[in-house]
Amino acid sequence: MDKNKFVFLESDQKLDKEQTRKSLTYWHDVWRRLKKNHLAIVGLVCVIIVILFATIGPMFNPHKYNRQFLDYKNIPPQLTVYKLGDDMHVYLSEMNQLILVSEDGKLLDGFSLAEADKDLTAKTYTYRLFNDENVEIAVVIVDFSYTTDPLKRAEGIRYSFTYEDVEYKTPMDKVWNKTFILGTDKNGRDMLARLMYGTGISLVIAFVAAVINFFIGVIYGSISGFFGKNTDIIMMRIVDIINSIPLLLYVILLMVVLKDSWFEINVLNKLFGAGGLGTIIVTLISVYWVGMARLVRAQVLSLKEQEYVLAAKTMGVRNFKIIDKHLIPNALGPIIVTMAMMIPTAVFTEAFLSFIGLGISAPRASLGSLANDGASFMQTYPYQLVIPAVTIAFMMLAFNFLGDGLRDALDPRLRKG
Amino acid sequence: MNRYIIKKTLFSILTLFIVVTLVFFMLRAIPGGPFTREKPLPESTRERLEEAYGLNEPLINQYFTYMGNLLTGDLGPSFRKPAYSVNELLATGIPNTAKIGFIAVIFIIFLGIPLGVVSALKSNTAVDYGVMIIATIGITVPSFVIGSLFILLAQNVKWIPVGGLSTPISYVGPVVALAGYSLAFVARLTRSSMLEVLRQDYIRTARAKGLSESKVIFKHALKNSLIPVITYIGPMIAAIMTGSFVVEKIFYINGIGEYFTESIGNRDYTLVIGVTLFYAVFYIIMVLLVDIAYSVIDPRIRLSK
Repeated sequence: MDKNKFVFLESDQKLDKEQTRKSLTYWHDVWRRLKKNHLAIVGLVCVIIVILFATIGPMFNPHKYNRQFLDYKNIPPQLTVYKLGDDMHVYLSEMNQLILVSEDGKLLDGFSLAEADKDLTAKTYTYRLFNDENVEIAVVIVDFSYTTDPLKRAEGIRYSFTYEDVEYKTPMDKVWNKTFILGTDKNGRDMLARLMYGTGISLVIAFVAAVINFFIGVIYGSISGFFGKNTDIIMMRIVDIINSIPLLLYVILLMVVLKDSWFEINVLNKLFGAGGLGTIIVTLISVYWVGMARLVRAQVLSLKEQEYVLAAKTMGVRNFKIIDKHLIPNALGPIIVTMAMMIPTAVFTEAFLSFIGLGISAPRASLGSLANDGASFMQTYPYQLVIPAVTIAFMMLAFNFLGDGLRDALDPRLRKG
Repeated sequence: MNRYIIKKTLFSILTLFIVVTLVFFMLRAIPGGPFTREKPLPESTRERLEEAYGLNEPLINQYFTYMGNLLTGDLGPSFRKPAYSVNELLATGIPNTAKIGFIAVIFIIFLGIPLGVVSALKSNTAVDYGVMIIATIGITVPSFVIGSLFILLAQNVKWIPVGGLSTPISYVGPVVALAGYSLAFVARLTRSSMLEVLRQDYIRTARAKGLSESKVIFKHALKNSLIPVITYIGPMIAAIMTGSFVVEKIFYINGIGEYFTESIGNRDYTLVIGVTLFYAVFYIIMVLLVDIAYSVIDPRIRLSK
């Protein structure tokens, strides 16, 4: 047969090299499953939003978290503005500070109130506005007698303004605070800046605690599970003892022991700065690693009976290499889920500790300490509690959704519902 | 089974012993003592006080004295409330804490589990979504926020007392704040566990042999799906008792949680150990009960190992 009758195929036309799909690694597969779970993706996006809010948020905010504006204490996000005269807008705060505002809600200047200008019998305060050269440019008299004077009480207002001999009783409008979008706290600090900072601190606590927990828990649990026998018994008894002191009790006790100790001053404060951040992290770590250790031990106990471990042993692989290369990678799914769930728990516990006054101290802030500060004034300034509380809830929701999704994606056998 | 329980009990006693020792020495490591004040007491007064309470002796002697008294059930005098012994203080605090805790636990079990069951049986319907949305909110909102909001409400509504436990209505706030998280968690846990069980072959068998639906659900499905729930509920009951710190603070309840935070700040050594011991005993008993409950619900789990 004539050789020339045959034509060589191009390599891409050859049939024996049938097109195969790129093989999916475990992590590709996890990502593919995670993507299908809408709730988990919403959670992931929310987590990213929270992280961006805490990291690059402060760059877009003109105020710093610890800067105090003494003229603007406890200013809410929404202002009830009165229009006096033709072009003057004022806002009277709950602390009886009179503030000059622009029509759209920017805070311009604070009025001064001298002790001599407080007429306590007639219940009128005279507020004076000075310009840069200390020249008086406006005088406003506020009449507070509407709540006490029986004749005036029927009008149902709390105060009136008198400016250039005209009395103003009805507010012009409610406008949003443009200078401090979320208002200010009791020391005149910007709530938005503090919220960003507090979220950041809460996240740092949660992430650092989760990562260090991961290492301690994995090492402890895998050693205990792999070596078994007496090692296991002793190590697990220690875990039992830590477990039978109720977690919170232990945390509180440890916080008190660490507070102002040599360790805090010389090690933690140098690592994390003053204000109790390091102490909280150490406390959370010393409690939560127990759960991780138990989980890893249980995983290792069942994995070490697998044939591939036996094979590795017969080939003479060293124990630590078996743990490192065979056992831990195979237990990674549940470990990651536990870590993901540990983050919201840590945020929660930190908030709880700060709330009972054992957490971060001023001027630093965490979500919990913000909520604690807000709770003491919630009657008059509910926004100061609601804002951090909503943020905590949002974070918890986001991490929970993501954690649930990760659990389903990493180990489909555990899929719930 | 009896041997198992005895072994467990013995080990629990050992654990308690270690806990007390740990707390005893941890407390002494904290700077300051029960008689350190902002305005210092005269040296001689302080010395006499310390002598009266045996605080001037070497630490190890104090430890053995304390442990000796403890064995006879005497928790010692309170350092900062001189008129009372720790036993008396605990006796006044525990009832209040236990009352809210008990009601909260009842709510969690008898509301959380049924909600989870209903939600699982009607899965992917409006009922299910409704329950799960509420449950998710319960898990994400911290108890101190629920408590604070409730106080805010109480301050504006006349017939709700702001604090204390004077009327039945005043229990609502503390119980809701205390039970919220766990109730939501139990509902979610029951739901997922129930769904898992409903897919099992033996449920199909039970239906196939013509059992009534209620029998299938209550006798076969519910019983089996309760195992993870019970694992959670045991330690949870202990945690609810500890979780009452914040709730007691917010609602001005004279409970044991208040003593605890206060006594740590005051360095009231004996009171701290007393409260810790109470919590630890409670926790250990709960864990033991859970172990026993397992074997009742699931005969496959033998208490032999």
